[in-house]
Amino acid sequence: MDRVNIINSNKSYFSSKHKIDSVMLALLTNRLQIIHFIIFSTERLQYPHMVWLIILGGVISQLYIYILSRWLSSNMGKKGVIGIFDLFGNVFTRIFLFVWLCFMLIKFIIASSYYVYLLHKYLMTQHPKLTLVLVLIISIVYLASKGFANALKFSVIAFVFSIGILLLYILLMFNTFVSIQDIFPLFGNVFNSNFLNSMLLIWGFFSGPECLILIGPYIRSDVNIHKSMFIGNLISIIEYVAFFLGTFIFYGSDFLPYVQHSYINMINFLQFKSIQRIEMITLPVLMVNFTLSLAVILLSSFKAIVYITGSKKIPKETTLTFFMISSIFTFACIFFILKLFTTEIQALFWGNVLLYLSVFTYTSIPAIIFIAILAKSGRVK
Amino acid sequence: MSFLKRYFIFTMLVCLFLTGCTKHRIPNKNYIENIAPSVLFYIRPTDDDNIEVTTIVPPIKKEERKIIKSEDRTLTGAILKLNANYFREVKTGQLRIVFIDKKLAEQGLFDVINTFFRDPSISQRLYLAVVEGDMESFLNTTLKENIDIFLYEKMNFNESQGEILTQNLHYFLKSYYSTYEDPYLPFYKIENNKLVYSGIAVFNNDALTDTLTLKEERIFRLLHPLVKYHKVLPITICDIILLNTKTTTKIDFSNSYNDVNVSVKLSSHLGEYKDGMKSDIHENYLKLEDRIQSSLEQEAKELVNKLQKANSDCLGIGRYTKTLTQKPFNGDTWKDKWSSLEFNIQFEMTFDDLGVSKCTKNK
Amino acid sequence: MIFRRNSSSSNKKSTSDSVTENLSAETIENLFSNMADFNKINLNTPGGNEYTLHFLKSLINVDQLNLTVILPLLHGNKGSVPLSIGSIEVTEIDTLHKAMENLLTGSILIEDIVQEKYWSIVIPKDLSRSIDTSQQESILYGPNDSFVEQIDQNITLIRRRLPIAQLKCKDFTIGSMSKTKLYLIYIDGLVDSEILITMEEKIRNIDYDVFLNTSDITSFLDDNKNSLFPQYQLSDRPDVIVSALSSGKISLILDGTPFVIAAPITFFELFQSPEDYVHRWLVGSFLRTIRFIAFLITLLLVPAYVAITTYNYEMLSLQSLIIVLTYRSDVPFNPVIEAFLMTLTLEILKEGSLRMPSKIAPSLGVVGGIVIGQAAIDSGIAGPVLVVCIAISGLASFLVPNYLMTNSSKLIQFIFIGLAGLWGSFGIILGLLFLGIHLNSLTSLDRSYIAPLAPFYSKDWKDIIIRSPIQYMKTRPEYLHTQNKNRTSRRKENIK
Repeated sequence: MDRVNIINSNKSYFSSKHKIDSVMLALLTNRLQIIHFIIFSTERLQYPHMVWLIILGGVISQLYIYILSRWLSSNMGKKGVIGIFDLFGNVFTRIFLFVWLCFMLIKFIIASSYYVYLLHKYLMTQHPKLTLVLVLIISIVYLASKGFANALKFSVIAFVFSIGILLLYILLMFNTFVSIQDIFPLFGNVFNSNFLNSMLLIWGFFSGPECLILIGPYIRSDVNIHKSMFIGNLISIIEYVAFFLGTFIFYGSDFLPYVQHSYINMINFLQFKSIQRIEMITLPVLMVNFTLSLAVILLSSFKAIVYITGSKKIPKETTLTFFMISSIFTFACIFFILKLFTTEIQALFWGNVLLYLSVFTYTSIPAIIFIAILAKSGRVK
Repeated sequence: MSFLKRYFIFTMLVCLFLTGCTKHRIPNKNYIENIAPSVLFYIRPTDDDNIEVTTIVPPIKKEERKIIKSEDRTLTGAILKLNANYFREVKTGQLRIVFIDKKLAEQGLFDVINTFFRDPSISQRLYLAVVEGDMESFLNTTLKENIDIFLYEKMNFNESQGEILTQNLHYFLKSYYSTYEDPYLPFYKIENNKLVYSGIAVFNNDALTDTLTLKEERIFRLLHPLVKYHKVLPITICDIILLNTKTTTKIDFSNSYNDVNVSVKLSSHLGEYKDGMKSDIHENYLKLEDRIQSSLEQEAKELVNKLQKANSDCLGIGRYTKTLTQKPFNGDTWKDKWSSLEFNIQFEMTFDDLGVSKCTKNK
Repeated sequence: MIFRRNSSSSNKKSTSDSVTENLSAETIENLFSNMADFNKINLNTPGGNEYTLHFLKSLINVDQLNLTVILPLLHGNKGSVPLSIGSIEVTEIDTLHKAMENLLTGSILIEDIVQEKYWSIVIPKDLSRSIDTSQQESILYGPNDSFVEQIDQNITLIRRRLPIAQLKCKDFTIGSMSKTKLYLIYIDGLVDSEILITMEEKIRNIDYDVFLNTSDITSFLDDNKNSLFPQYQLSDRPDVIVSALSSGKISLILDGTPFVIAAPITFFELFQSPEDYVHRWLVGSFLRTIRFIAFLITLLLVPAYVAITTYNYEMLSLQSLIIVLTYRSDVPFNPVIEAFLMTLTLEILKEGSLRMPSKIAPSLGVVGGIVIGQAAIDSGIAGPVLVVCIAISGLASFLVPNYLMTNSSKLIQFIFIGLAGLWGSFGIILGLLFLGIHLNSLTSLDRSYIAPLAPFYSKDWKDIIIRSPIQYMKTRPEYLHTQNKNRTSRRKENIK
């Protein structure tokens, strides 16, 4: 061990000295998926029997998670970006990373703008959107500036913040005037006219872990990656199913299409003796999930840019580069929210764009890696 | 200074100068002493098709309370016009209870309710009630007693006790949108300058069609599948009071959905009984049970007829047509079915407890 | 990258540059000129030996000097100094620098004029105060001895509780002027070698002139200097330090101060107190839970009040709304300024009471607390609800056993009040988010600061919020990566 480096080491964003363990990986997978659930709410699935589609979507997502975990536990995956260079070769990797980077940038912009839009609509109506976007981006950049390993470690604290909301939803179900008939019929024609849209939406709920292809070097070697990500996905499935059925019990299947963002509106009904209108606390708490996911996206993009523009051996991960990249992201977000994301129709449009993008990335990226691994092992043989 | 620090300071200075370019919007802080959060609204229609909103401000003890009202074509317009009558801004964030005049309820409530629903600052637990009579003079006379706070506490108490029905915004809208139910609201009357609970207002979609009396309201609560506990239940025919009644309602439909069997099981304590039953209650309680059952069945039949005539399924019976695998009625089809349903109501009464004393036989 | 040189070696060169003269009586007297406490005693023994004793009277124990040095020299006839004085260790001195060093640390210099040799004997003055109860942490049903300013006595207190050969004690000298002794104590075979190497490296890089207190060192040893959270535990109780050592931590004792450092710590250990282990375990767990709740109250109660009265009036129940409205209409300030002013007043009272002479303190306490508080409420400058909130949060801040954390939480409360005034409940959650991000990345000696939470060690949770009975805590805390994890003797051999 280099003794001098302990005291005077340069601040490194990509140092893999502290690694994450299995609990953190599971919660990370879960939190990355949950922001899609918050953005695309479940109202478009109009019938209670679509819950089986959610379970089906979860099972298919387990397959993709298995592919990702195989990649992360393989020798190439453990090296992170360098492993991708080994997999695809120099030129193709740069193209792949560039396309991936574009997708991540769009996702970052739309997700952060959507959260600010929700915040502005329900809670902070008097504040200008610019302030809210800046606050969100500052917290994302602050988390990202602590380094990749610390940003991944934050998933535990994010889960601790959000677990209170889950408990509140359970409390909601213990009201009077709750009847089980509201979730009937539970078995019905799943393949109705809404099937394709619903499947797309559900697949969008489970997307998110494709950002994790670069975190190979940050996982401890004794972690059973497949088991952790499996548990993370399972937690997501349970949350989605419970919440989906809960909205039907609470609203009824006929009222639900008229409610927007039931994830946020439901808590409005809870009332305690001392404190009421808890949704004024739960809506800001959702920011924790967004901070985590978008910080992971920002750091992955930073890594991709550094490896695209620089050489493979000596990446220029200086603070200056980080600041410039985060400034670019910030200005893109500000421009987007002030010009292109102002009305509700635009919000719906960009929500759909994000849905299609997430579905596309979640389907294609693990598939590409899987095919590349197969091709490589075929060539080796 | 290092490059990073200089870069940072430069960026901050640039941002500082750039703030001069934006349109300044001063956030509208809700300093609690500068706003008048109103707790009670009373809404009624005026002669020239406007909506008039009345409220009491301020809910502060030290200042003089007064009633302000304004009218406009729309509800929001009327609420905003209230500000013209007072030196603080009237805010709807703490709105807790809304009284709606019966005439407005007969015309259709959806627009009013929808406005409350779409405002994100109003809670979903807003209590709604229909009132008939001169509410304004009632509010005027009771102004000194903080009537709005009293009414809210009363509604809160009613909701927790369950004896007097309350309804809030969320459940009203849920039953309005549902194909299987219709909404209902508690109905109050102003008599001798007092606000008196007089039953239930029954709606067909969003228009008020009928009101149930207090007697009918008791049977309504007995029949309602989701109301499971009644503290006090008077049976008028036999002058009997039943205490701590627990009810279980079962609803079964025939295959063609033309007949419905509603069977209600009651188990309660015998509270007070009159009519000189000098013989031992422990011997005669079976007869008593039969008498109570038959009287309840009679009243229930009358109630259901009344509801069918008013074309309003407030009991939510239609919900029970849904089973695990099928949902036979969609859209308005249940509404068409409701008037022609044949009801077959049975009550089954058991006494849990006949009282403390043991009646000795007369010698 | 700047590699700082070893400070003591550079200092050695500088002093030895000026002290290159030969060792003789004149050079010693020149060096120690203008010192009133520098004494010289000439001894002529009957055996014909001539001795001159040089010493600094303020530093040596004069009674022992007579008994153990002068008398044996006068009556002894063995010829040389070490043979005459057999009871204490006698070292030979050949350089002026060493002579100066020894004289300044409580030795006497014996000049054997006949043989032209110099000997030094250590007879330091016993200046310590007696072992007293700890002023900061005293528990009811447990030992109440505390460390003192003498480093050797402190080592005694520790060695008595851990009489094992594996308790190692490395010494360092820090401070170019104060030359303070620093002992690094650890249990060999238990502690993780990484912590040890990191700590030693940090100590070797300390470069300053005077070290009087442990807080002077901690800023050199911190991983994150700008954090509000302490990354070391300071304690003057031997039992706390011994339990830390037996868990696998290391500790640093500095001469001249009774406060000893134990490192590394986690955020949850800031809420542990030795008193928890005295009570029954359920009671101890209850007390710990109250401390966590009190910490949250300190951070959030007054900011919540500010947020509710500034932005989120919908969150109040109707009765609270009436109470708040009734008194808020009397107060001339807006809620943020009012909260700031009253919190500042409480801080002023607290700081003032620290520096008041003890005779005035009670009466001024009455004036400050009761008269000013009551007068403020009656005149309408502050409201009763706010004063109650501030009083509760002020008291709650003292529940955290670590006093450094008390003041840190006060500062965080100010920041939260500002955020709540800006953005309401969103501001408070934002502050909590930033706090969470900061705590997440904090390290103490390269160990994660939120250890059993972030690298999730399920076994450590037995001692975080609940205090399990001692028999169930069979393993040492996992975040320390000790070499021997078991505390009980069932599975492996005990440390002998």
